This record gives sequence, C-alpha cells and structure tokens, in this order.
Amino acid sequence: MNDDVFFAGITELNQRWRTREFSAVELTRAFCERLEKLGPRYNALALPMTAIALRRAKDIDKELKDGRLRGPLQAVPYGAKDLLAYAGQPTTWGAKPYAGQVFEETAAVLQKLDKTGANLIGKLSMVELAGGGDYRIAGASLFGPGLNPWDRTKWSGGSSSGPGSAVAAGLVPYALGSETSGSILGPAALCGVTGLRPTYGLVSRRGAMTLAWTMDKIGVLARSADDCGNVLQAIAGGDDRDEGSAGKSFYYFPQYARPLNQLKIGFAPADIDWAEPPMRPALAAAIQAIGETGVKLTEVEIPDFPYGDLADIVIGAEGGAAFEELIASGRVDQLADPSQAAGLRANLGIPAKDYLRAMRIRTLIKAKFREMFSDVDLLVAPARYGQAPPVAEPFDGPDPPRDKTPTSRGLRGLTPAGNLAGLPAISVPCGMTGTTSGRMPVGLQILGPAFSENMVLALANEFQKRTDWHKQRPPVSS
Amino acid sequence: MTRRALGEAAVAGAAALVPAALLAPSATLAQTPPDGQRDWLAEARQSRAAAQQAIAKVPVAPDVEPAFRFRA
Repeated sequence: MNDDVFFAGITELNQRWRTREFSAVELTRAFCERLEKLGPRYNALALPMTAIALRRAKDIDKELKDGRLRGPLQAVPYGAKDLLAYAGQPTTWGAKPYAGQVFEETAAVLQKLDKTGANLIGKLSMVELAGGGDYRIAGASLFGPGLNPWDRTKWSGGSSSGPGSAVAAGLVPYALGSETSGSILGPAALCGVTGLRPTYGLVSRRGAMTLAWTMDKIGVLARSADDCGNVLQAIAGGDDRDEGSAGKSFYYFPQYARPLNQLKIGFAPADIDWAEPPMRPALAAAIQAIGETGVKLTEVEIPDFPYGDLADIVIGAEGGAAFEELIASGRVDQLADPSQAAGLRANLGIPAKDYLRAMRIRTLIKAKFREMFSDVDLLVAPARYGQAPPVAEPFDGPDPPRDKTPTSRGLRGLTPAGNLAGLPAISVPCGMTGTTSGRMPVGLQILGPAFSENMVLALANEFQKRTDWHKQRPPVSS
Repeated sequence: MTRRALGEAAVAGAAALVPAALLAPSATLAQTPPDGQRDWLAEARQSRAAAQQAIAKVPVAPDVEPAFRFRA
C-alpha cells in the first residue's frame, strides 16, 4: 500500500474504502503491520490488537457489501491511549503496578466508536498514571520514554505520548487520548499533529483511568481539525455512569458556526516573547495567518491566578485519593519515576482546606473566563512555550537563560487555566523551528467558551485551509 | 501532563511577573545533588507546600462555593 495512505485523513480513507479502492481488511492489515513494526521505534505501542482488528475488518467489509454505511469513521483504523479499558485485554495505565490489569467492560468511548464501524488496532503508550505524581523524566512510563518521530532524541510529550507519536508517524490515522492538564495539547504540539481537548463533561470517561474526577477529559489526536470534529461527534454524549457528564451531545457542523468575519479573537503579543526564540517566527506568522482569516484580533491578558499551583493542588488531592490503595500498599514504588511515587505520597498530605480553597478559586476562574468571553469569542496562544525537551534530560533542570523578559503575562498559563475552567481547546501545527536540520513542530492553541467546539473547529479548519503545517511528515522510513 | 512536563514551572504564580533573577539558572538548582542522593518525598512535600502558599494569597470571599459537581 502506498505510503500516502498512512498519512491520509479520515474522510479520504473512508471514501477510498467505500469506492472499493481497498478493503477494510487490506487497510487494517497495512496499518497493523506498520504499527507493530514502527510503534516500538517510538515506544508508542502498548498492545497490538491485530487479530481482533482483522476479524472486525471482515465484518466491516460485509457491511459495505450489504449497503450498511455508517459514516466517515467506518473502516478507518485508530489507536487508543492505554488508559481506556478494552474487555479481556490488558489495560496498564502505563504503570508497572497495573501491568497485568484486565477489565471486563470496554470503555464507553471505544464502544461508541465501534458502533460507527471504526476499527481499534492497538493500545498506545502513555506516561504512568497520566503523570499524577508530577513526573520529572520522559522515562516515567512502563513503555519507556515517548520518542518524537521528528527527532527520536526528543520527547513526544505526555501523558498521551503514544497517541502523539503514532499519529505523527502515520501508524494510525487518529487516536484517542486524555487530558487532565495538557496531556493532549502537549503531545499534539510537540509531534506536529492536531489535538482536540473537549469541554469537560462532553465525552464519557466510563472505563477510563481516573486521575482527577473534576478535570479528566477524553479527546482526539488526528491529522486535522476536520478529523477531530468527526471523531468528537462519535464519542460525545451524555452518560449517567459518569458523574461529570454534562448530558450533552455534539454534532459537527462548523459551517453553521458564526462567520469568521464576525469573530473577535483574543491574543497577546507578549506570548511570542515568552516562547523560546526558535519558536517565535512560527508563532508570529501563525497569529498573522489567523488575522488573515477575516477575524478581528484584539489584545488580551490572562486573568491573574496561580494556575499551575491550583492545578497541582486539585490534581494532587484528587489523584492522591484515587490512588490511595496503590500508595498505601507500597506498590507505588514500582513506578519508573521515583519522583512520581514520592509525589503521589505527598499528595495524600494535601489538607482538605487547601483542596477546597483551590476548588473555590476555580469558581472565580470560571467567572473570569465567562467575563472574558463576553468580549472575545476565542483565544489563541502558543500550545507550548518550550520546544520538545531531550529525552535524556530531566524536566526539572535549570531553565535556559532568557534573552528578554516580557512586560505582560500574556496568555501564559492558558493550558492549566483552560483545564481548571473545563474549556475546549485545540492545538494545530503552525510551523517549524529552524529551517533545515533539527526542525521541530510548533503548535498554536485555540481555546473557546464551554461547548464552543464548532467555533473552535471552524477557525482551526480555516487555518488549516490556508496553511499546510498539518500535512508535514516526519522522516519515517519503513 | 503536569506542570514540570508542561515546561511552565516558571509561571508558578501568574499573580506576579517572574522576577528576572528567577529566569536564569538558579543557585538552588545548581546545587541539586545527584538523583541517587535526592530526598524525593521531601522535595514533593516542599513543592506542594509552595503551591498551598501560593493559593492562600488569592482572596476568596466566604460565599464563593467550591466547584463541586463541576460543570464547565
């Protein structure tokens, strides 16, 4: 099968299957072989599901023969972060203490995708326990450090490390990931793919590992915003078995979102200077490209809160409680990163009054963002301000010296802020650092009010119509 | 992804701009002992204590309720 197939979008793959250019079995086999062969190169593969996927592909081909067409995801393979349960198969949560864990029930999102004719071909690697103890090394995973397809000496990001690198390397057309605070946007930005974090409560977490009940979200990493929209429509929807469920569905109709020339987009010039110097030209050009879509750009500054500290307290307190048995049993010491084990232990010592204070401040943050969104429709900012770090270096090393100190906060801290407020965001590839060797992707974040996914996707779609950064391929040789 | 992995350690508190002195490699970090000699639990507790102190500085009126049963 031609290499172009591995980098095609969802609707194109579905169309080519419907016109019988290839069968679901042929497509599935090709992706499974590629995932099994190249997945380990990036430490991206947690569990190949080739035999199950090929059986499913035969059924899907029969559906085409019978004229049972189910929509754009039918026959298209995908991967899922290994915190989503698949009945009867190991679900490790990326952590050695759970290496033999098997659930009897498949996660709600995987069941929903199955009904669309989507075909799960493998579980993908992740940072152990989605990083709930505040990990400090890329190697904090049962599967080893996530390696970036653009440069395997660099990190793929986390905690959805496998979904990021597998989509970037053309091992799966799309993958499900999860975000508590940055775990979709980060890997998407570092690997040069498009990552969508939905509004809190829009997608059921039934059958997904819990890190923080009030912050966990399931989302998508894919080749384009359009692909993310199609997948979100399939996985969104209310679920009484998820206490955080908003009870809302999502229909992907970006064409019915408000026209772009009626939108006011908040941005902060200081963000360019907060970013590392090699990223600045790409980010500046991206903001300019956003302006050329017809929207009105207006300068804003993020409301003044200690977002990182608040996320630490909320995730720490909830994650400590969620993993109390692991910590008490001492099995927490089996984690690959001793800093994570210590962090989880320390999380149990967070006083209730501080957790409650953090949750009360979240109420204020939500109000401040509602106020901000009465003036602007969306915000754009760097998805990350730093480049992919080397896998060999810990994250808590000294920061590189800065060449300048911006005089404004800009929108720095938008990722934990958006997660604390439960708001939807997408990271789109918006350029590369450097010009020749050592080029690495740069991501632009578009964030909107709660349940504004169609508006977020409409702007991201328009950006991707005007640029081709999402079509860039890393140097993968099969 | 937690704060260190986000690469946003320097934005610990958006309440004040990060002093320029903190943006250069710090003396504290330069003196960090090798991994094998580090007391991870003590460091983790210190980190959480710092976060607790930071959020204690945010004024919250008594009638502001926690975002329980969180809805976006």
